[in-house]
Amino acid sequence: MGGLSTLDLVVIIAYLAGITAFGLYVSRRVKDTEGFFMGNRRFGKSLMVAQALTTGTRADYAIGVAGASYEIGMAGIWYQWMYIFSTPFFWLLSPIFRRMRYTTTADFFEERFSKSLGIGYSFFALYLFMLWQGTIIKGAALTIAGITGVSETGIVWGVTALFVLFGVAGGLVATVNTDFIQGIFIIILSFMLIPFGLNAIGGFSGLHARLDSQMFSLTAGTEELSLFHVTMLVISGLVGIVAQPHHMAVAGSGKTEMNCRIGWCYGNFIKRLCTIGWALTGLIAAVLFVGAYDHKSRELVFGAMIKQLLPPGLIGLMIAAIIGTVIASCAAFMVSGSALFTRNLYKKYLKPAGEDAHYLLVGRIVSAALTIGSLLFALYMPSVIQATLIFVKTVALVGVPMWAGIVWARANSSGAWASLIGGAAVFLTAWLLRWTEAWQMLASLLVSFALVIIVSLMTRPEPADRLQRFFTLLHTPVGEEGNLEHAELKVAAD
Amino acid sequence: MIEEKKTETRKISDIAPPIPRSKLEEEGHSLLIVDLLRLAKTFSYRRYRLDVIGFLLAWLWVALLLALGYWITRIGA
Repeated sequence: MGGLSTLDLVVIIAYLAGITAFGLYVSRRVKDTEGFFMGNRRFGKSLMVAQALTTGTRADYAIGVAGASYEIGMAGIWYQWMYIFSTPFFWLLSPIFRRMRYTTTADFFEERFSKSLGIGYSFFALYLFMLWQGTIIKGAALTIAGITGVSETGIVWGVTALFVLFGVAGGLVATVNTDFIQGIFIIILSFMLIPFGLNAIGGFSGLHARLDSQMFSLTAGTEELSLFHVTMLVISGLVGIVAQPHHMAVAGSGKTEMNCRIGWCYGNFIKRLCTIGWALTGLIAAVLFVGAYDHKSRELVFGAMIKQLLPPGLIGLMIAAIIGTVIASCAAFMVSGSALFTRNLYKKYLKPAGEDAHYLLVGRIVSAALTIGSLLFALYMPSVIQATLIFVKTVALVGVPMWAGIVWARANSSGAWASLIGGAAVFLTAWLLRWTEAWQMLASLLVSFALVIIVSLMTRPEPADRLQRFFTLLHTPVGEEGNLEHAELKVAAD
Repeated sequence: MIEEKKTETRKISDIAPPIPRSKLEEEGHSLLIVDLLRLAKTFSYRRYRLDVIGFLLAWLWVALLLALGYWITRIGA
């Protein structure tokens, strides 16, 4: 198939069968939604590090950074290193997530502001799930297309069919549990390309001899990534980091606050370390495939590297790991999105007293709709990097009211809505006026912050009991739950 | 999700709710971001010890990673 050896095909089939069996075995221990989403908040330090590392490390990140570095040099690293300056803040933010004791970020918006914001955030999260699924499928398709020569569109349909089939067959929940293994494989195999690549081009000295010195510059001075652009990516990354729907679980599922701090912060530092490897892979590709790919096709180089450098067997393992990540991640997002709509929106506000069979049907319809949406993203988004930029810009706008809600007690629902709508309007206007991405981000963030302050000051504050409830949680460290009972609050499982 | 046991809770200021007393918070577990707008009044190293030490250490790691990234681009030059 597409130039793959028999050994590669055997490895792919064996790997996918193996992870499914492992996932089915592990998933028997998950008894309820709290266990499913938050691991019953019992994770230790090492598991928290592993969780933060693997839930945030996917093949499309490596593909995007390697592709960018192939074209613009080491500066391409900033497409993922935009979060490096945010990472120390994870140390400060993770105990906040843990102390909130919420299950989803929609809970935060509902409890701190209003039901309408909780609903609004739920729809936003559904959009993000579709965008992420689309990006993952796109990244996998680009890589496998680069290795096998099969058309990218065909692979998009193929891998989508595969993860939907897994879901229908009942392997959906099971594969969620195998994300850890696949994340490790992606990291190992990403670094595995470097020695093979350096060997092929004559080591680091060969790399320097054949590339312009500008390609080794970390100080993004290229037309694509100016210093201003990188600065705005860093700021947007920090503002938006709190509003990503999966971070409530990634940052808040540790047994203790220290576990959460170490897990989220240092799990991500390991990922930043991996990013150096992806950028270096792109530089090696720039020597191996001089002029072979242009701006539009540059993300194919990761797959081309695998095909050219790795021996039979390892190529199959890499493809299997990528497909496995697509299945696990997309299945997880499909389940989470479907559950979010069915439980937090449909059951809560539209049909509270339905039968289980009815909710199951609704869940399946929503799963199908999410899959169609993600397919459209995968088919029509120009590149993985473009999808990353769309994500960073939109999630930052949602991050503004979340930061305001945590830091400033006077922030209210009206201010939050004004911030979201105003920021989005400015962002769209700037986009229509063809401002650069950096200016789009700066203008929309400034307006968002200004609106949440001005409108909150001009309108009534949130009720005192709502604020009391929220800030009592934030000032009650894990281990002092007795204080919550004293304050007449109780933490429910779901 | 958080539920109230009773509908009546303590009334507080609309703008800045009073901080409930917490032994752990007083011993270094207070959170810089949550108290950001009143740090001028509340800050002490003892109270924010964990945040301060961990935050500074994390920036050290950022510096190390940046240095590593730069060093790798210099190998073989």
